Amino acid sequence: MLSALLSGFATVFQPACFLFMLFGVVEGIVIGALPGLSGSIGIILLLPLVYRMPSDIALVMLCGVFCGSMFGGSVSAVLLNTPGTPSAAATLLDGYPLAKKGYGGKAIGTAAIASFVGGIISTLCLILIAPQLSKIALQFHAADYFSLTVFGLTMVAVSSGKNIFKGLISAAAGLFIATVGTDPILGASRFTFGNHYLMNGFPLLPVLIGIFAVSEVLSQVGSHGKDGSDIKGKQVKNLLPTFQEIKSFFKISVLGGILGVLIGIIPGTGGAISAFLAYDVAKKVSKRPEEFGNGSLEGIAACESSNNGTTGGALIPMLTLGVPGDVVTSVMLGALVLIGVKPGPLLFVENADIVYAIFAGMFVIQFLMLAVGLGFARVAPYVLKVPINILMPIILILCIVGAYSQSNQVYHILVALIFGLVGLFMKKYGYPGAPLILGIVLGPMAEQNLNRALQISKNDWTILFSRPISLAFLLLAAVFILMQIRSTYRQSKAKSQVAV
Amino acid sequence: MGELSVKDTRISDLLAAIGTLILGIGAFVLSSSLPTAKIGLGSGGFPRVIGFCLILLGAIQMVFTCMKGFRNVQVQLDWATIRPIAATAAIAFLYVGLLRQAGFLLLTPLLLFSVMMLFGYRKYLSAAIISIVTSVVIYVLFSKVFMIFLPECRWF
Repeated sequence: MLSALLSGFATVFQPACFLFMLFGVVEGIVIGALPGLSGSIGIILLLPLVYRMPSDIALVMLCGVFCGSMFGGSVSAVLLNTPGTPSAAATLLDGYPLAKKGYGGKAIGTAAIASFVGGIISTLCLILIAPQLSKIALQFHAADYFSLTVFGLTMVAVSSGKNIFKGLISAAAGLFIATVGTDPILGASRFTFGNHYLMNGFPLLPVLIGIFAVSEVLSQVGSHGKDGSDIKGKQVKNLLPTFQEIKSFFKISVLGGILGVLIGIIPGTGGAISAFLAYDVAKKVSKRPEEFGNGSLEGIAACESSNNGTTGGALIPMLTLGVPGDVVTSVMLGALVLIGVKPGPLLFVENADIVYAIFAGMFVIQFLMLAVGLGFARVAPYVLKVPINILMPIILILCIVGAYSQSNQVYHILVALIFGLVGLFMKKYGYPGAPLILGIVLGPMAEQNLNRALQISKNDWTILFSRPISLAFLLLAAVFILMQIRSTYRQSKAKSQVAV
Repeated sequence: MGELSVKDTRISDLLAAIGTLILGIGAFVLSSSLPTAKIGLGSGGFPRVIGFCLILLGAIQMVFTCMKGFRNVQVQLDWATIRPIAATAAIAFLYVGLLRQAGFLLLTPLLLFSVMMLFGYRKYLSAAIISIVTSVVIYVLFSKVFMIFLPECRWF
């Protein structure tokens, strides 16, 4: 393992790889800092480039975007009182009060150091846990894989939106979209209606661009760009906290990082949940809980180390099982498929060089993020001044070029626009986009594994319940659905009582 | 963010539930004509399973929405929100329709400029400059650096 890791570092320090990784971190921080744009859009905008690159370089660059965007969100949370990404929502509770007192620089500096600590912890956990989990996953049967897909989809569907049924409808619609085209079992055409464009199914990249990026542009034009930022002449000074201050929030950062990894591993969760949880825990264990909400460095450190801790955690199920941990890793899973890399336990056997390049890259990314993050904080007020009514039209053009670039087909732009409208409807009415994408990505895997399981059992569907691992995944999925229904029922009952 | 078309999501939830039901029934019916296999799923097995799930979820969504009732539901079209979205979508579809003939370099500045106007940007000269410069930069970057050849104009 050590030699593989060293070989990964050799790959990462090749000039081309290092430059693209740095580019990924910078892009991630800038995109993360701009309110309305998230890490998933940052990755989508780079997808036209990734399938023209060696797989290891492409994936390391995308990891840079993932980690960079997590930190970037904190910059606008501190300076604008608007989180750049949902993961930074908890950061503004203490970041903005500090900025109002004139310590915005220190808040961003603390966020950068805590993100670094959380990122290093999550990378260590990724390196230690992922190979072991992949060894276990290698023992999985086709039925286990099918049930794992059901579990992963359910988790993402249940936790992505406020209404569990909307999440599940979104996931089922994604699975249906995945069936369009030539079927992988007998080679028959399904739901193509004689249209030759549909023979290969809906192209993944334009669908991703449409659901996440085009829908965001349309949503912003509908609100006349009001969701954009408004920052005037703020200067960021005194970035680095003192040694005593770093010492005071270091333990909390480590705790936040560990919590972030644990939350990140659970499919369907993500940085926002872990940040709020870490904030709550930090407040309980802190010697100065009264400072929380009034500009506590510990509060910022807990949130930022935790949301960066989820990055490595979310990569663990994605790389080992092919089930993403959050929305951004759902998009990364799509990127892996586009590149032609099949995630899952076999990835560690067939593409170990790529896996260890990602591990090494995640380490180096944390250092780059710390350096670039502290540098970016100084120019952030100018970047955040870019008007949304210039930025969004440019993003629309990048979406169009991105959709076209995969196979030089105008039809792909049309697909991106149609799915942009679908994504807009979903966004407006509470249907989460992540389960739809995950359904499209995992659909073929689910179908092939279910088919294989039925072939082995000679059409006996009870094989899904007779194998312990498969049964455990299905039971877990059912338990999470029931828990969510119970929680929704309680919330609506409480609301109706308040209304009375 | 403004409301797209209705003040209450009950109508849209009901419409989405009906859409889900129709999609599920469609998947179920159309997949029954697909080839089957003696052992395993065949071509239609998996879509049938998904069709069944969609029917079930659509029915649940419909029941829950109907249970909330439709009294006092006001359907109000928020044209201030719908108009720029519809205009942006229409311009983008027109762009796609003309792209093969007019080419990227001729059409993209026009698209950028008009979408900026729809976003409420009113500095016409700087919008025109940004539109032209951005289009040229993207064209050069993709055509010369990434070797992705964007559509050329067929008229000149």
